[in-house]
Amino acid sequence: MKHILVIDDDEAVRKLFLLSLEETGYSVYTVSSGMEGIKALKQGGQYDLIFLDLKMPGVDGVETLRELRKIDRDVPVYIITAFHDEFFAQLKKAEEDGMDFDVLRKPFDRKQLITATTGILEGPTSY
Amino acid sequence: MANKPTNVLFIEDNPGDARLVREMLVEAEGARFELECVDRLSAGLGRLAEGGIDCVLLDLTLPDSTELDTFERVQAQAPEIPIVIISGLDDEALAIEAVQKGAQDYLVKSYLGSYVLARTIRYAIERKRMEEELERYRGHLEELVEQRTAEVLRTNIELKAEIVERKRAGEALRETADYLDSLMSHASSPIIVWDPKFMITRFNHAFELLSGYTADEVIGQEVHILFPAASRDELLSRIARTASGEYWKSVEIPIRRKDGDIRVILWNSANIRSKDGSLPVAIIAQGIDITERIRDAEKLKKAYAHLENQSAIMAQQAKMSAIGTLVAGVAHELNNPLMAMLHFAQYCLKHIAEDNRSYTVLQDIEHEARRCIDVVKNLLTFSHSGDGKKEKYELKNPAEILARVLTLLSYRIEKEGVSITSHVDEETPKLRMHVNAMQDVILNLLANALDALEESKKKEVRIDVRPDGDGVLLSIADSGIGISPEALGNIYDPFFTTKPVGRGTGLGLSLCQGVIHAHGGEITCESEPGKGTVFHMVIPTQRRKGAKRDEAHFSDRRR
Repeated sequence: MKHILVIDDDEAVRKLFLLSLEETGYSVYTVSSGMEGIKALKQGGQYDLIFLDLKMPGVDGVETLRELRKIDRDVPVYIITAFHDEFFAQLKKAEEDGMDFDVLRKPFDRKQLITATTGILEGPTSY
Repeated sequence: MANKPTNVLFIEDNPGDARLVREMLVEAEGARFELECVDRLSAGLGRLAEGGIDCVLLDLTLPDSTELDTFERVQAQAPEIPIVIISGLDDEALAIEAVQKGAQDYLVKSYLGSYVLARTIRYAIERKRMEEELERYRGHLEELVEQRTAEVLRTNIELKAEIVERKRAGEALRETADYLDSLMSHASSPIIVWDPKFMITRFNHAFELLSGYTADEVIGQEVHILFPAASRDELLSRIARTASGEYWKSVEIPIRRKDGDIRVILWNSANIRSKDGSLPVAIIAQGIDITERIRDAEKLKKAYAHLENQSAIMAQQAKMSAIGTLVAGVAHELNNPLMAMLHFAQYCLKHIAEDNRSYTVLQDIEHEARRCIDVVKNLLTFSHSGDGKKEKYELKNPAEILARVLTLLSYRIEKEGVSITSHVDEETPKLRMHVNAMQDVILNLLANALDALEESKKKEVRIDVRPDGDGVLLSIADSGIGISPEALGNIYDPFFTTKPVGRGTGLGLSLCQGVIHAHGGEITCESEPGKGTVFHMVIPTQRRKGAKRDEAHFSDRRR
């Protein structure tokens, strides 16, 4: 069983992830803030993929990424962004600092989400 | 007369003579005489000094005085009292002398008689009185003459003084005239005087400087030689009104200089009238050169108009910027909900049978959600820097961008059967531009052209790329439906669209204009309804001064 963590403050987004990834067989766990996401990892949660929203109140996406990476260097992280985010520059800086991540460009539909998810989790052969 | 006694003083040392005389006087008829006798001169003088004596009878031979001396002393003592000499035969000559000296009469003792004596005394008094009167008259006359003479002399002096005064006034006047002439001549304002026949009579130094003519060149000529030929007639008729009594106050009248230059002068004129005030004898006009002032006013007007224009443009840009920010903000807010809706619809579609009536409806939901997402994407098109890599300006050949856009639209072009001719001049220089933005501009314009051709029989698009000055001219022309003259003024307004609902946001052209301006260029449009539309864009190779701000134009809108 593969575990996916979705960190997004927007309930609609959390819902769509749950609905669209329902039949993939992966376990999807959603949290509504960066803090909760970090807590989830700190408490020993093992995730195979993390979807991370950039624009969040409280601890924002970039900050969350840095904290996550302190705990787990390797877990694949998909940053969800429309590319106009005011945090984009900060994200680039994080990349320069060696924070590894990928970008999933909003908006994406059901098919695109499933494709991206299975691509990461099952490797390129699943395309 | 008969009532008042006559007081007579007899100065006689001979008592017999004294008695004789006394008797005679008593006897006298028709008169009363009061006689006083003294026997010495000194006594007589003393008595005379007391006054009240009307006549003196005097014997010249007295003990204390000699002959004429006697007479003279008495006369000296009482010059207003008549003296009658009573003389003996021996001193008749002396008596005559005394009379010549001022005595009224003389009587010889031997021939004294009462009647004669009384008469003599009376006559002596009368004569003395008349003498006195005469004297008085004469004195008066002399006085009068003196007075008149003095008057004449005085008048003479006054006249002389007046003559001197007049001469001096005359000189002063001449000096003043010279002075005034000098003043006018050296006044800093141009001054001119002409007569009722419009002949110039005076032309001051300042006007010489202003006009380039010397006074000699214009004095005696008609005033109109100073006017520009074009307005000569109109100005002449204006001048003619001055002769009929009008005057100017702050009137602009141009002057043509000797070298042909025109200066604009602000004039005041005044009429100098004849003594009886009926006609002007001269017209004087004084002016100020306001040519510079007018030019400055024009410049100011232009500058102000330019400023107003600029501030209108800036206001528009600010508005656009504000709208852009607002729109971007709203678009961002919409992203998540729209995406969620799309996913929800897609989920439902996965879990419902295709033959279920709701299936198609759910498809519609998906479709509409996608439409919304497209709208949002369009809205955000110009406010982001693409994939985040191409933020800077790049030097690129516009033809490259055109090619890319044609590729993007190739499916639609083919599907709709549009014939595209594009001509790119070899000499077209590379441009420094924000590649994604420019691409979006061309994409937008070509998409609009395709939209315009939808209902047209003739489906042609002609694209031209060529050098223009030190920049590039890019033209996109279609044979489509065209834009009405009323709409043409509004095409760059945000949210202005003539497309049916749902087909256009109305933001395309306003954002195109924004991008072109940001590159220092201009976009213009010509159109004829039913015939077609052409858009021309001129972009300079050298970015203008506003360019620094324009980069901000792109990065500000990254939201």
